Amino acid sequence: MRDREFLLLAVLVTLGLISFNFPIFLKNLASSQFAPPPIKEAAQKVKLEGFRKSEQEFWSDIKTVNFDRDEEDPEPDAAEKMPDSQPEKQPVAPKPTENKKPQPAQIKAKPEKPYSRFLFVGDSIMFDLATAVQYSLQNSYNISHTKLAYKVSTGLNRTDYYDWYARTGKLLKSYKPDVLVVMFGGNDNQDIRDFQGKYRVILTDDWKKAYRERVDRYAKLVSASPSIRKVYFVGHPKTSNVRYYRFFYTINQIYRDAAKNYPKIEFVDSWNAFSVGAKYAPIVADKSGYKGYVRVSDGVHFTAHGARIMSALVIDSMVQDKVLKAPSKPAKK
Amino acid sequence: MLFPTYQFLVFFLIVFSAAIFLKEKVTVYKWLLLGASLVFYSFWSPTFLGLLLADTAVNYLTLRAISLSEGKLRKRILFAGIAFNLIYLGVFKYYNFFVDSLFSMLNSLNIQASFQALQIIAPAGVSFYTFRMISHLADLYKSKISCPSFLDYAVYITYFPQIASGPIARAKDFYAQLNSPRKYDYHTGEVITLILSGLFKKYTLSSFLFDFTQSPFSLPLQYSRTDLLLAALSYSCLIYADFSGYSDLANGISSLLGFKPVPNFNMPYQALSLQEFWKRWHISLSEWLRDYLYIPLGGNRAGKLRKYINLLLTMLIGGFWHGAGVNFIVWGGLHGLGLVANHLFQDLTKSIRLKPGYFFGAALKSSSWLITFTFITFSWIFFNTKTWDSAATFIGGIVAGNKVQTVQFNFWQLYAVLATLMAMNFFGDRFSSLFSRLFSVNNLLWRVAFVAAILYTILMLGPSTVPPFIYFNF
Repeated sequence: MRDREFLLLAVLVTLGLISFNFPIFLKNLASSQFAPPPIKEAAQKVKLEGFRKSEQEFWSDIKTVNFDRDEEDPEPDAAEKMPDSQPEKQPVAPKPTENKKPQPAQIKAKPEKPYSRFLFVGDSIMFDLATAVQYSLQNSYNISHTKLAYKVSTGLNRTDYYDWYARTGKLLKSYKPDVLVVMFGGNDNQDIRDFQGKYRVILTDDWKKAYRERVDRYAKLVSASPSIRKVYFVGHPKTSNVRYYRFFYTINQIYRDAAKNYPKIEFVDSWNAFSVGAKYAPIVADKSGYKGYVRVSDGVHFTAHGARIMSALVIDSMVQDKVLKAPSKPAKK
Repeated sequence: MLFPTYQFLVFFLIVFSAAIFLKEKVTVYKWLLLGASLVFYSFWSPTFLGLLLADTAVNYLTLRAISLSEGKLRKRILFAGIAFNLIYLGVFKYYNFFVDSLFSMLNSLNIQASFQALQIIAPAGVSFYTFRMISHLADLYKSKISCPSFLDYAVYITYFPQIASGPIARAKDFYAQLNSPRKYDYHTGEVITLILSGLFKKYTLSSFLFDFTQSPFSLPLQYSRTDLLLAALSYSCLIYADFSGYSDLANGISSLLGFKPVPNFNMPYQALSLQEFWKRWHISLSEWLRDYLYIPLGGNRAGKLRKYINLLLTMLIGGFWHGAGVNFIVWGGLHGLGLVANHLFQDLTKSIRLKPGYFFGAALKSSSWLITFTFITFSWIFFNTKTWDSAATFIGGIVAGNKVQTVQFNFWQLYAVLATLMAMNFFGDRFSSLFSRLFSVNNLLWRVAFVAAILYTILMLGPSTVPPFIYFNF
């Protein structure tokens, strides 16, 4: 008897909650791995309003741990005072070859002020990477003005869930970084709604076109920032996770192509960072020969060792681009 | 499959509906539970399910062999069975750690290691079900239980409310309830309280605190002293909310399926000593460690020095059980040393009889609580930091301060959540009984409205994505 009472209660409460706030139920249902595309599509159309919206915004603020509001304005940069001669809204045509494109410093004569403010933007994978890069910047280059703005479970795909365009725009204004390091994609492995509102199934040509537009809009946004002097789009290395292998390969190409169109943006190719003999290897040596696991068991996030290998690639790119000078002291393990 | 999802709700309503009609038909009910558990577990991965079934089969054969043998052979089979389980756990949980440590050692000796190694993924709940298997072997060897049927054994090992993160139920109690047509007679108010309390702790409080406990532990240099203190406090509260929330949900669900709740948390942060803390924190594990590790090691039967060594060893192993990492061993070691100090103090002051007055007594209690809670919070720092560097920087930042002065975590909501969790640690039992009383009003409409309102509030206050349970990693 008690069981039946409980079942009745559970069913009534569930039905009550569903009918009271159907949009929330739909969004929850769509997050299940078994939800069919029509449900996911319908859920993406649902817009949060009222208390739930303000409450979710509060959650977003909490999740961005490094809050923007207390950020001190840096001293005005010489570069900012100068009119920016680069026509940001007219992308440079992509070059047919893989040759290095001209550096911004070569395009416009800017005073050689050291690059001192570094901003890292991305998801939880960026959290692993940024932790290692920040450590190197601090210990080897004596750079302490760094900021990590990450949010788990986000990317450039589900802008209905988290708007990285708005967030990045806000960060660029408040933090005024010289260098921006970006790594997205870990959570973008899902269907997409393009800018025209059409639903596109993952990894189809339409999906690639839609995602390309997302990346391009982001590239345009960061390139237009007056404070930014260099941007790095960090690609994903190979993985043992079959689902992600093909996906990372595809989006790396999209980010690489986007970077070619904007002089300030450089693509950091890390596809073979975790490879031995061109194949993915779970244990890889770093430059010093130190070996260790590179990814955690999910096959996507980096271990501390993997993050150090990735960090070395980013740092190398920065040194090559003269964003960083020779190390002030050797990096410690 | 995670508990706080619609997916689980649908799954559970189907299982529960079937259970209502089948509970009294003992054998059919066992098959229902086994089927449900296998479906539940297969959501993680069919490979994990295959491993679980193979492991269950091997252990069952070992149980049969023990029950059919005598004397030395019986003992040898027991040891072989325990060794098999330890190897199984070692391969799936500690292999990567050992390989990494081996490379680390070779690197430090400047030896170039050229062999390739695999990366092994641990099956969900492996630590919990392996412990259950080991204690089952020991209980059968000591004739505390008789050899069960394979069906009973498989249901016990795979039982879905407890497989991922416990509580670690004892086989004897479990079988008694499983084989009885009269299942545990729960009070609806008690079950509703457990489920709502679990959801509130996990969905709202733990999810909220999660974001204050990630970045500061990896990048402590970027946070002010106050932020680091708040982060340490937040982690103490987070791990309590997360794990006890899971236990509440597991016990609530288990009650509905006819099994008595297994005590796992009893307001642990009100403890006045480390000894008391371990009687209130993860009780089913503490008791398991006591019965299957501390006592077999000799317990307190071989003198005081041996008792202290056994305590330290038990906590070190308990720490290592939590995860493949030096940080967990350090955490266990700290608790081991703390417990030794605690026992030593008790042993030394046994003859001193104080009769403190009201104020002196209150001051004594307050300082005992403060010392205990500070020690526990301090030791959690090692639990949540992956490297020595970040642990040392974190602690250094709290003690000496960092260059960063801006307090980023100054949210009234954070203080409210921390206060709520501390209140739950001191008055949780009163909240539960008040809640049960409010629910006990015999009117269906009131009950539906009451539960729906609370559930709706919990859902509204929670984030759109809930982080996974921390103890799923252990």
